[in-house]
Order: sequence, then structure tokens, then C-alpha cells
Amino acid sequence: MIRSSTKTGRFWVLFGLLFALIAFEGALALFVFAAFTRSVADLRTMQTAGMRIDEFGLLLNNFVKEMKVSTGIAHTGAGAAPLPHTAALAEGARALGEVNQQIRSDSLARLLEDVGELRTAVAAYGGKLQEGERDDATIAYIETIEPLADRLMSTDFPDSRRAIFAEVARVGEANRRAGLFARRALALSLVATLAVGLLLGRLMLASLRRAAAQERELEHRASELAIARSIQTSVLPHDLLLPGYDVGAIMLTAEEVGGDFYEFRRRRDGGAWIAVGDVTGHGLRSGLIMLMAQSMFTMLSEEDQADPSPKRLLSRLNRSLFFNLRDRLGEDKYMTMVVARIYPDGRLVYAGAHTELLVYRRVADRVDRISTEGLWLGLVAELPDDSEDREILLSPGDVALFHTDGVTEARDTHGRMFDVDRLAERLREWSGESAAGVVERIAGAAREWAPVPADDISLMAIKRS
Amino acid sequence: MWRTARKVLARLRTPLGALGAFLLLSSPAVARGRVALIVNASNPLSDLTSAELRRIFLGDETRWPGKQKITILLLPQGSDERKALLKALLKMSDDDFTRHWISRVFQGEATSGPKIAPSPASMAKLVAGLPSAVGMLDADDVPAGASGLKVLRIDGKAPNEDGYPLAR
Repeated sequence: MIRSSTKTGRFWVLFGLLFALIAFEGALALFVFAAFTRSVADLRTMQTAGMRIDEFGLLLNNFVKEMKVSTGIAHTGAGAAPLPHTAALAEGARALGEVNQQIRSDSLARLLEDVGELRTAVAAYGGKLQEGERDDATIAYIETIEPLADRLMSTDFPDSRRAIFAEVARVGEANRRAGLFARRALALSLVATLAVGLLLGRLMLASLRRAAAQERELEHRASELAIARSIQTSVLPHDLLLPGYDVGAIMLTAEEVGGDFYEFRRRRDGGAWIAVGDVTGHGLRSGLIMLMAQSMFTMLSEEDQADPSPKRLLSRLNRSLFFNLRDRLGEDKYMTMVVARIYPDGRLVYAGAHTELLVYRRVADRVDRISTEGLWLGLVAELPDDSEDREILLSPGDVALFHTDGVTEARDTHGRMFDVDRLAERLREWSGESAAGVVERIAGAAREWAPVPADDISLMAIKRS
Repeated sequence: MWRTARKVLARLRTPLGALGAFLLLSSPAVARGRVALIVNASNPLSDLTSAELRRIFLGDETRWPGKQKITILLLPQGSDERKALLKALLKMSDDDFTRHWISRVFQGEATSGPKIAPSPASMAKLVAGLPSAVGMLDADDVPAGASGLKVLRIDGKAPNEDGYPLAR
């Protein structure tokens, strides 16, 4: 049971782990998808930024070169000349401004600020030219426009471009690392899932195999039990007729074969042999030993001896049983057995060790509890010499009741035993019934006491007519 | 010589010009035919060697001792003063000088070349207005007592002194 609980616990732990792993993979996949989408958007933004800054660089370069050509040494005219239009530069700056709203680069912001300043200065320069203030325009050009243009070309633009492409590289690297991490995590998780799945599958397979084996075992045992029960009940005596006596016997088998045994053999002298016993343990082996004891008893009881006594019969039966159990079967089992010889004159001579013999005395209307002392069969090779036959006398109406411990040790749902006192009381109560009636009613009472019997219930009543 | 004579005659047309012409002609050291190099009055320099000037006009030296960028102002191509300056200082023709600066700019050795002042008056005004400027004028065209300007001595000589190197 403990092993089964451990296995079940392991199964649920693995199942939980598998579920957690699958959930983790789902979350990871979502994260990877979101990160991928975001990284694609980031990369696109940065690529756009890179394209825009390069486009702007061309525009700026063209503007500055053209401006310097207009106003510089190549010009042979009369001083300050009109500067190139800044419209294209303005458009490039506007596009870059859009990009910078997303990437928020300080260097790009500085570039755009200086471009704005340049455009203002160029416009002012144009105004001065229009007003004929060529010298002032030249001064403005030299002092403001050209340094601004130089700063844009030498510092602002390279700084911005460097910053943007560094950001592009950073985003790319971050994406690469995130992707690598996600791939590794996903791969590890998949491997873990596979491993857990395999373990779970193995466990389930083992569980299925175990269940199948258990089912086979149960079928086997059911079959075995059926055989054992059949053996146990098929050898029971049916003919219990004995002149001067009313003999009744019953055996109610439990779910598992208990190894109970009773026998009745009439003798030619008008008497009879009876035996009641119980093999230790349960199951097919106990049933087989019971069958062995029954055979031996039958054989020994049929021997024509001058003065057959229960003690001698038991002694010989013990010897044979001990030999078979220990030497042949190697079994550590033994059995209780009481053997009695009934005489036509009412004497009942008995020997052996078994449960108490209850004797109802009709005249006194009481039940005597007579212990059966001695050694159990199969324990030693030779029964001790001090064991002896005992004798009681049954008067008309008296009832001797042999029983097995399945009767007295039957437990109700509260764990209370049927016990010998209750058995004696029932015997006294139903002593007026036939012997068969006595055993049937007592067996019924015991079965009612313990609806789920743990052991066989066997009873044999000998009522003197 | 003829050019100077024309300028003297032109100045005689007004009383103030006549006074100037008188002063010019009566000066013991008349600087006729000499190119004066002028800088902003705020420029701490007052004397340069020919070698230093060559480095400046060729773009090898781009900053004043105070690290301010030097702005070269020249009269338009073809002017006598310009030709004289280039020949005396750099041994170059106007076209050679132009090619030199185009080469420097396009090779990235200079961010911009010399600027043009369309006339002597503009030159005077621009140099007076630009602390970084170094310009050129015919020594006769340097406005007397003009504020904001300073005539440089070259190799220790002023334009009106003998041995002045930028003579035509």
C-alpha cells in the first residue's frame, strides 16, 4: 500500500512537473514571440534611422560643398553670393526629427538644433544680400554659417551617425542575445519536458503492467481459491448417521481458504470416529495440508486395531504429518486437531489440542467448557507420552459441540469477538434443536456477527438421543 | 605708377580727398605699389614673418596664436593687388593659388578656402568686422586712421618702409 502511494505520488509530481513545463514553454513562446516582434520593430526603427541619417548626410554634404563653392575661392564674383536652398536640408531634418521621436538620441537632437540654427542663419544671410548688405552677409557667413556648417559636418553628423549605428548594433546584439537565450531556454525546457514525459510514460507503463500483473494474480488466486475451496468442501462427510446419536456438521468457508477440517467415520462396532481441526494459515497450501491430514485420518481410522484410541491415532497421524510437512514440503505449518471416539453407550473419548469442547448438559441446562490439552500436530515428530485420552459421558439430550476458532474469533464491525461465552450461550439456547439445526443456527449467528468472515467457520454437534 | 596717379587724381575731386592726396604725396615714405596686410584691431599680432604668412596663405597654419580660426580675405581674382601678393609671397599665379586651395578643400585638408571681398572698401569693412580675418589692400587704399584695422609689419617692415617684402 505504501509502495503504491509512493508511486501514485510520484506520478502526480511528474504530471504536475510536465504541466508546469508545458505552461512554462507556452509562456516562453509568447515571450519569444513578443520579444521577436518588438525586436523586429526596434530593428526596423533603427534601420530607418540609419537610412535617414545617411540620406541626411548626403544632403548636408551637398549643401555645405555647394555653399562653400558659392562663397569660397572658386567664386570670382563680387563677394557674398546667394547660398544654396535649404529646403532639401529642412525635409531631411524633418524626417530625422520623426526618427528621433522614437530613438531620442541626444546627439541627433543637437544635430537637428544646429540644422535649425543654420537654416535661420542662411535665411538671415539671404535677407542681408537682398538689402544689399553684402559685407554684413559675408561677416555673418564667416562668423556664423560656416562654423555651423563645419560643426555639423565634423561633429554633429558623425556623432549622430555613430550614436545611431551604435544603437543599431546594440539592439541587434540585444536581440541576438535574447534570441539565443530564448532558444537555449526553449531547448532545455523541451529536453526537460521530453525527459519528464518519458519518465511519466515509463511510470504509466509500469503502472499498467503492474495492474495487469495484479489482475492476472487476482485471477490466478481466484482460480486457486476456487480449487482450494472445492478441495476443502468436497472431502467433507455427507453421511453423519449414527445410531443413538444425532450428528450435525457445517463449514462456512471464508473468502480465503482457512484450512478447517472435520471428519466423521462410523465404526463397525456401532461407534464412530470424529475429528475437528484447523491448519495454521490460509490459502491453498493450508487447504492441501488439511486434505493430507484428512486422508491420513481416514486411513488410520479404518485400521482394525484391538484397542484403537484417539491418542494413538493422533500420535501416528502426527508422525506422518510431521514427516510430510518438514521433510517433504519444508513447510513451517502445523494444525490443531481433536480426535474423538464415540461409543454407543454415550462415552466420548477424545485426545488432542484444539479449541474448547462445549458440552450442553440437558439435566443441568448448562454448558460445560472442557479444554482440549496437548500439542499441536506437526510441531514435533513424536507427541509426548504424557498426552492421554480423556473421556466424557453424554446423557440423553446432552450435546457435545466441536468448533474451530473461526466461530469464536469472528469479529463484528467494532472489533468485538463472538467469543466462547456467546457460543456457549447460543448452544444452551438452541440445544433443543436437532444437531444440524444447532450448527446451522450457531454458524448463522457467527456469520451475522461478522458479515465479512476472516476465517472458516466449522461446527460439529453430537447430540445423544 | 599710373594706378596711383589715377587714385591721387580721383581724391583731388573732393576737398577731403585733396587733403588725403596731399598727405599721401607729401609723406616721406610713400607706399605706392605695395600690398598691405591688415588684421582686425583686436588681433594681438602686429608683426609676421614672410614664412609665417606663407604658411597662413597656403592653409598650413589655420589658427591664430589664440587658437581662433584664421579667415583669409582676398580681393577678387584678377585684381593687381591680389596678383602682386600671390607672386611676392607665394610665387604663385592666381590660377595656381586657386587650384591649390581647391585641392586642399577637396582632399579634406581644409574645411574652406579664402573668402572674397569685392572691393577695397568691403575688405576694410570685413576685416574690421571679423576678429579672425587677415586681409589685403593696396597700401595706398588703407584708410588713414581707420578704426578696427591694423596693418601688419612683415619681416619687421611696414609697407612704407624700405625692404618691405610685398612690393609689386
